[in-house]
Amino acid sequence: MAEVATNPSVDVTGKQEEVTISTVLPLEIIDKSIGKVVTVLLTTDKEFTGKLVGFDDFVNVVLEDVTETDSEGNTDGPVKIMLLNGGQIAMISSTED
Amino acid sequence: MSEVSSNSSIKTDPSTFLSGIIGSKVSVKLNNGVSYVGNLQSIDGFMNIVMDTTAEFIGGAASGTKYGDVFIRGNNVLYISKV
Amino acid sequence: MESKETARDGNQNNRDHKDQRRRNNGTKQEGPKREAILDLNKYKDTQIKVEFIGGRQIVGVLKGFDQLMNLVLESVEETLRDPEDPNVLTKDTRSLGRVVVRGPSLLTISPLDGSEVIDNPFVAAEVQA
Repeated sequence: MAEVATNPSVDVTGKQEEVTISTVLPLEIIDKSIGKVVTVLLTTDKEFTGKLVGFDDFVNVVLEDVTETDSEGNTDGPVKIMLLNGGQIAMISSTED
Repeated sequence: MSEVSSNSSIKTDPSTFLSGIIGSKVSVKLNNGVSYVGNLQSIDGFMNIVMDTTAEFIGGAASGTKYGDVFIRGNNVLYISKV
Repeated sequence: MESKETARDGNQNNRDHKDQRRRNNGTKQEGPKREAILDLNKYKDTQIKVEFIGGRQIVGVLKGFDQLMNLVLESVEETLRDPEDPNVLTKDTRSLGRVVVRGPSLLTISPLDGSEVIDNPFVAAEVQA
C-alpha cells in the first residue's frame, strides 16, 4: 500500500508519474481530518457522524462520540468510541473550509 | 502504517483501538442490523470476533436470546464499539 | 486412488504454467500494467458525477485521486432519492462540502460537461406501440 500514501515509484516513462504528484491524495485528506468531526456515509442509507480518531490502509475508521443516522433520519447514540468497518464506506465528508 | 501524519500523538489506529478493548464490554453491530453485546475475547485482522456472555439486540431492543461464547465472522461486521 | 492421480496431474499443469511465466518474465514481458485505464487528470478541477454501489449519487469538483480510485471532491452535492423508490431521483440535494470518495464503492464516474438529461425513451416507445 506504500504507493498510495507516498509518491508513486518513479517510472522510466516519467510522463504519468509527474502529473500524479501535483494532485491531492485522498488518504492525505483523511489524515488531515483526524481530530475533526466527519460524516461517514455508507453505501447503504446509513451515516455516522463523529470525531475522526484514526484510520488504516483499508480505511477502517475509528470514531469518537458517534451518532448513527439511518434513512428515516432516526439517530442512535452517541457511541463513545467505535471502529467502523471500511468495507461499506462510500464517502467521508468533512465540513472544514 | 504508511500514512504521513502531523497528529500522530493523538490518533488511534484501528489496530491500536482493537488491542485496547480486548476484555472490555463491546457492542458489535452487523450489516443486517442485529447487535451483539458481550465481552470481547479476541479479534483478528478480518474482524472475526470471539465474545462471551453475549446478548442479542434486534432493532435496538433485546431479543432475549443469550449466547455463551460466540464467533462472529468478520465480513458481517459493520462496527465494533466500546460500551 | 483416482483422485490422487488427478491431483498430481493438476500440480504438473501448474508447474508447467509457472515455468512459462518465469520464462516470459526473463524476457521482460509483463502482463497488463497496473495503471488506471481512465486518466483522472483530465477531469481535475471539473465537475463530475459519481454514482455509488447502493445507489447514492453526488456531483462535485475533482481535486485529487489515487491509483485505487479514491477521489477528493469539493463543493459536493448529493442528489437525494425518493424514499419509497431508491431508483427515482428527486430534485432535492444536500451539501456535503469536501468529500473523500472510496474507490471500492464507486460505480460510475462521468463528467458533467457533456452530459444532458433526456426524456425517458422507454415511455415514448410505449406510447408509439
